Amino acid sequence: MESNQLVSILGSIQAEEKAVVMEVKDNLMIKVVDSSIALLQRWRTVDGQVYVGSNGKMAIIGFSGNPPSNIDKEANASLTPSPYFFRLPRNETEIKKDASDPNIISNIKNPSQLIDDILNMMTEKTSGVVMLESNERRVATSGGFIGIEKLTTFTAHFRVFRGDYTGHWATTGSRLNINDVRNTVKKADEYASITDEVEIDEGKHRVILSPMVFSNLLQLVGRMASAMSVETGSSIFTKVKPGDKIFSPLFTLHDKPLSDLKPIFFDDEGNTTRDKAIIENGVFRTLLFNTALADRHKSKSTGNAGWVFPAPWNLETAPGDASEDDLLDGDGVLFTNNWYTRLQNSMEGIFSTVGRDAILLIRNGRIAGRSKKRLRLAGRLSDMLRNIQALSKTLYPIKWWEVEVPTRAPFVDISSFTVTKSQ
Amino acid sequence: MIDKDSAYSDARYHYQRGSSISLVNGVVAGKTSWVSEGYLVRSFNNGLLTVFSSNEPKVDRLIIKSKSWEAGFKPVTPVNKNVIVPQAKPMSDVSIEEKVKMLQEIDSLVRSEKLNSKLIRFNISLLEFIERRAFHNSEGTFSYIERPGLWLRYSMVLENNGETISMWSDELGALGGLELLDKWNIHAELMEKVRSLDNILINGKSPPTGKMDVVVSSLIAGIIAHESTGHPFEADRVLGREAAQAGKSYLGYLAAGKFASEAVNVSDDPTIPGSLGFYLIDDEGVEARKKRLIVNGRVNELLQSRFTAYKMSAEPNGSMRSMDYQSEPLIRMSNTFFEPSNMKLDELIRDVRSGIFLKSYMEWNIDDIRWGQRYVGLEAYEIRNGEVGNPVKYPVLESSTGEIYSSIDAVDDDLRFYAGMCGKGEPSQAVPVWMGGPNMRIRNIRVKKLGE
Repeated sequence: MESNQLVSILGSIQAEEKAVVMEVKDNLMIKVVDSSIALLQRWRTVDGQVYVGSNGKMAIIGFSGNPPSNIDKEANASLTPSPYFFRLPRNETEIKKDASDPNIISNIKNPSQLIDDILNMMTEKTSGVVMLESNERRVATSGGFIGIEKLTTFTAHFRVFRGDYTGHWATTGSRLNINDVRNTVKKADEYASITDEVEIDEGKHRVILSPMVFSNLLQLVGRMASAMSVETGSSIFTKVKPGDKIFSPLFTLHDKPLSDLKPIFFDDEGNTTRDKAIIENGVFRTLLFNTALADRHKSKSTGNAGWVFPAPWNLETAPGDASEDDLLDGDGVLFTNNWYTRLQNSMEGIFSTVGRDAILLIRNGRIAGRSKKRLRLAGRLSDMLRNIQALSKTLYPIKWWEVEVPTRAPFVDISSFTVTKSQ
Repeated sequence: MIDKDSAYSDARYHYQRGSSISLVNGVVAGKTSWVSEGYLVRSFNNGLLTVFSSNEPKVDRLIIKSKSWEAGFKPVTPVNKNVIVPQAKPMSDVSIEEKVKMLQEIDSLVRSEKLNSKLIRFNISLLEFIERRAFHNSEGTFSYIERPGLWLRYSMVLENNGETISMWSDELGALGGLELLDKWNIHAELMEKVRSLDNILINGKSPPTGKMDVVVSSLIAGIIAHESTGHPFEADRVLGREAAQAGKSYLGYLAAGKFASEAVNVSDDPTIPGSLGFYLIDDEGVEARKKRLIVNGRVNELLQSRFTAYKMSAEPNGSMRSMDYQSEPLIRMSNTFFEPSNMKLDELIRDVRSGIFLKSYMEWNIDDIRWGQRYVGLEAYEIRNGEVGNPVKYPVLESSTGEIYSSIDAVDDDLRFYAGMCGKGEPSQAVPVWMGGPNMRIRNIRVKKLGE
């Protein structure tokens, strides 16, 4: 039935190269404010995109709702000559995958018990969100590929308030585990419960980044790894070649489409996805390519289409060998959460980001207290990644407001980085 | 679709159509177009707020009894209003080929400029859109608005001896048709920009540091107004509804209502014709009006919804908007700006003995209560003895809202607006806004170098 619809859309378009991607979603969000329900929102939506290419010309048409009835006319009227025109890979395959969690699907239909469970695990003053997604992703191409995958995800993040003191934590996965949600509240509460205040001076510090903070900064690295970011000049990888040693040998970053965070089996061109290192032991390995950009860079698709902008599916850092206690040895500043990361120069990776919730001063291996003021991390992304001197063994799955691509990240020890504050 | 069993319910049909033509470093990246169409129904029943979004005009009621954060809502008198924003020169009158040609001409012109550095990237895109919203609620309000508009975005990177300067801009955006392209004078703006960046890259020196007077342009006044007045004056943030997302507001922590000088007046006005934030009825059926948020340095009014107004014993003031049919309405800014005075820029600069003129910025951010903020200059110049002088590279203004607002001693008469996207909510909603102001003088404030 579903594949018939895809074939029918493709069949309605007169062009040599064509592809369609559709996502049929049932989602639910439970928004909690001050340990009460502020909003229950449910979605039942269809989103899609069509690629049309002919004689070096191309166009892309997106839709939310039913595909436009005049899609052939519209597509052909939009064709424009472009070096980003590509031919779909010849791949006469039909794939059906079901990686969905029935528990997520049933909770979207009837969330009463989940709501009760969530409210029961709240501290006195907790705000946050539990989002459940059920998605049937469909891809068909003129290369003969038809793929349908059913997947589910859940994301939970909570901010706990102890007076004016706060802690924030997040989790995500493709299977709902209520204990993960409970542990998220617990971790946020742990940071909120640190109430001694200290002054932290501006300047260079040894800094420890929580998985929340590191995941946020890895979003930059993942986006910059897109070959389109190099084309537009918004990537620190613009002048880098595969094989170049650019970061700490302790740092390895993979794009893992097959991760259980959100498994994706084929990209928008019908290429089978595969896990790959973007950075391996500090060495740059590859940009993320779709077919068009791979051709322009004389390379091969990495299975990351996006027809215009190839992107990572799931990011994962290789773990280190340190315990979290090891990382808190000596002196330093632990940033547990951040937001508002912005770049002064994206080709050079000059950025700052604002710490929020608990920013902790570590003295002689102990938490001396939390910063009275909100502090920033400011400097070059490449300096930060070069200065990694240890990573925790444990990785945490993170997705929340400031982390869009599901990411598994450790606590990270940076030997030196600039900390600033507003007066 | 209205839920008649609810104490309050509204329904919205939301249609959006758009297209984008881009040149990536001189080559056509093709045309991308999209259409989005669907319905959102919101119900407040048994004290609980529920929302359902679908492409079809369906209602899916969530009947749940639970501890609710909302306390109630403020009713308003129903209205009936239709608004269609005109296009003097309809977008459909010009073919794709001509639009591509126009972008290629701009690209050639920028690349033909003789520079001391090398332009290594130049990207430009023309985005056209049209939005239609039809609204009905349980009070009997009907409203309809059609908003066509354009957005011209560009970015560039220049290089000299391995050092780069990079910028992007989404500041040219408004409602209307292709007549906007003539109004924006794009060729002149881009030539001025590429020359200016070249000058900074080649001739920019390290900025002076320490406490000094800083004159900020209307562009920077706009981002300051947006970030540190607009957002913290959203009543839902003050009440904590966004605490786990975009955060809270310093207004919840201030002991007194005055933290700014007499020269500070900030407003939010959705009724400005042609603005990106234009509407006359908000997304919960309340008539829009100008809100004077800060008057002579004092907190005057917040941006309110029916629900926050109930909690704060205030009145809703037409501030609710949503990104699309999948998004609940939230309290949003429309066009937020510092009000001008009758002074001239010359007068602001004349009595600055040693300081900086911050014309544009790239990196900026603000903390989650909107108190600690940072702007890093892109185009910046020394001021010496009342005259704007040599370019300086990337001075950093990192200060608190209280320090900045209480140190603004004068603003000029040149009110300008800039387009931007404003993010808020969960899932995150980006809505188009204008932000602006006059040029403003900030006395005796700390300036740092990038990297300090």
